[in-house]
Amino acid sequence: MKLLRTLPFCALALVAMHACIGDEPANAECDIEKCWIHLDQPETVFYHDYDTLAGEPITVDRPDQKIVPTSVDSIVFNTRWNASVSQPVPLYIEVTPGAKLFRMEGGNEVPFTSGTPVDLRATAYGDYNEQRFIVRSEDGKWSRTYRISIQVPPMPSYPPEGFELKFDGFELNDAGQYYVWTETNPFLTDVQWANGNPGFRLSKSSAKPDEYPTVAVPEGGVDGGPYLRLTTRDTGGFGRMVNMRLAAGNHFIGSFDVGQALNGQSGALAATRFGQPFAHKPVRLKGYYRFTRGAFKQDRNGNPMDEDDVCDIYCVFYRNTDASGNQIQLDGANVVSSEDIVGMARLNSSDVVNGSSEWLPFDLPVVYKEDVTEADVKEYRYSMTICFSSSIDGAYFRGAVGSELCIDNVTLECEY
Amino acid sequence: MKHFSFFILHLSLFTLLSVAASAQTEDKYELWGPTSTKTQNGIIIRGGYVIGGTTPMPLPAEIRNINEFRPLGGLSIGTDAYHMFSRHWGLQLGWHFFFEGFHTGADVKNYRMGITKDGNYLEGNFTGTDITDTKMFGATVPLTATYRISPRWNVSAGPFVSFLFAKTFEGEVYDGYLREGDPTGQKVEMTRDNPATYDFADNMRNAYWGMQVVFDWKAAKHINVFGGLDWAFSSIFPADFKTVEFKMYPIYAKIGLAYRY
Repeated sequence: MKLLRTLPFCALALVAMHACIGDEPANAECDIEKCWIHLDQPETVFYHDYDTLAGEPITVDRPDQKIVPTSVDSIVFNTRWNASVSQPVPLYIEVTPGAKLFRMEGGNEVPFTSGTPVDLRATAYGDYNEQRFIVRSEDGKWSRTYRISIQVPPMPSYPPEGFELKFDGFELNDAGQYYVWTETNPFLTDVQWANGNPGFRLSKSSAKPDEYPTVAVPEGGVDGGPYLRLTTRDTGGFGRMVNMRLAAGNHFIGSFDVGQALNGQSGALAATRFGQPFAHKPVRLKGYYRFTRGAFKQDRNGNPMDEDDVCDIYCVFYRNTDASGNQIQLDGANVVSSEDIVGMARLNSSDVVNGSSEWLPFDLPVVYKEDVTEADVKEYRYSMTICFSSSIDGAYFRGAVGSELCIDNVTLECEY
Repeated sequence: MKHFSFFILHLSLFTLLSVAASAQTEDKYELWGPTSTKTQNGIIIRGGYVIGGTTPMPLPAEIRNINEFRPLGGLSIGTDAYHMFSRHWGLQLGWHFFFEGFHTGADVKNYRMGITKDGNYLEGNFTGTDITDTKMFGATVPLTATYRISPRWNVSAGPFVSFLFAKTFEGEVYDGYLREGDPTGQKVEMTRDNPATYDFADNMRNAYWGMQVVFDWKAAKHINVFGGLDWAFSSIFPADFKTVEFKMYPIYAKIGLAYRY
């Protein structure tokens, strides 16, 4: 009769295995997911109403909503250059469900209720009051610190010689893995360069800084100094896991959302957010390049294609607000095809010289398909991007591994 | 898992009825014993169906839901040789080929994982859906003590070693995101359209050990009905394999028919 006891025990153990899925663990994440400020008349302080929302537009379906990328720990609301904020502003913050939000006050963590007015005064360029917030996860094990401020940018001004981009200002990122650029031109305060290096790092953690797609070369530029080198790279085993076998070297004005970088074709296109509001009207994009084509162009599945790889260089000027007042943000899917593009300069693929050891000049006029008024431009109604890529179809993971585009001494000439 | 539980419940019911029936029989150890009464030796050839899985035990809280479970393969063919030292006690040594595996889909939350590939490393906490397929072809060598409970009932239990000749362990993760490094790290989204696929077959051990329990019921002069469990005590992945942070134990039940010589 022992058996009678044994067998049901076996059965019990196995039933239990399914039944004893434990209680759901508390959330370990501690992000600020959304953040916005409320002003009764935002248009007097900001260029766009959506500037009171922090982060990036979520999707094209919800243009009125923005979400703070998880890579961000500093939230800055940029005002008009001649605006100021002197009164406390109601600050709204949404955190990960279950997480607790605290504000740092004199070294103490004080629980913060979303919507409470906060002193974020900002009176002139460089003069602002930054507040610190701490988000603690539901499980109590993790925390993140955020800095939030309103900042007044400097007055936009156009240097007569144009905006010169020499790619001389660069450093390694905090972890020392890859290069990041800090534009040196004092007039071009709007410019923020981005590239796909943070995404490449996910697939090739072992890569040295010089093995990334986007690299700073310290010597050998047009003036002998630093230049920019973009190389289409094999992404290795991880790249194959997500069917993204190559990474074109790219460098552009805008931001790169690494959170979307591995999220399929649509995610990869959305990861490259092109352009920033720009108060000048671009006329020509000039500079120097060298291009050497990689051995063979492959398609997304790694199969050879019956065509040659070529680089891409362009400048796009586009409308950044739709009729409803929502933000328009071009990305990899529409940066050269959107109906909101008003002007574009682009290097003709057939003009690209392959294999030159000398620096070759390019001079690309910005062709406008509709008129823009100076008043609108000064009101930041348009955004501008400049983009360089070592493979023209790199956004679609088509290109030749080894294709290399070097760039130096670029000048963006504007009408004003 | 539900199939499995049903199977065991049925088996228990079956056992219950048959024990009740056999309780009324007379002492017939001789009749139901080994064919060769002189040597007290015998050989059993077994064929059966195998069902089970490779699973952490107990299930960690990070596994939120098992959405699907389907056995793959499920065949065991082998032979046991036994020698009875007394009326009740004996020793049994076997060699069983098996082909077993399963497909499962689970929702996980904040599931710690790290992947190594070509010298590159990516680790973090994954929240989303994980699909796994694993198949193993190999042989099990059990050395068990065997005990005759009654003339028709026999139980054997003891350690086994399994050797794998061929193995797969592959799957994909999607509908979720990885927080790189730890829960405060960069969120990397993964949709169903573009799952991240993995294949850890090369990381699996080629051998593991555990304990086996088998119940035999002598249905006819030469025919046994049997059911049992192989419960591995060593993880299918070596300790230095960090991708799957939990120890994964192959736990498979089998039921089948045997021929006794």
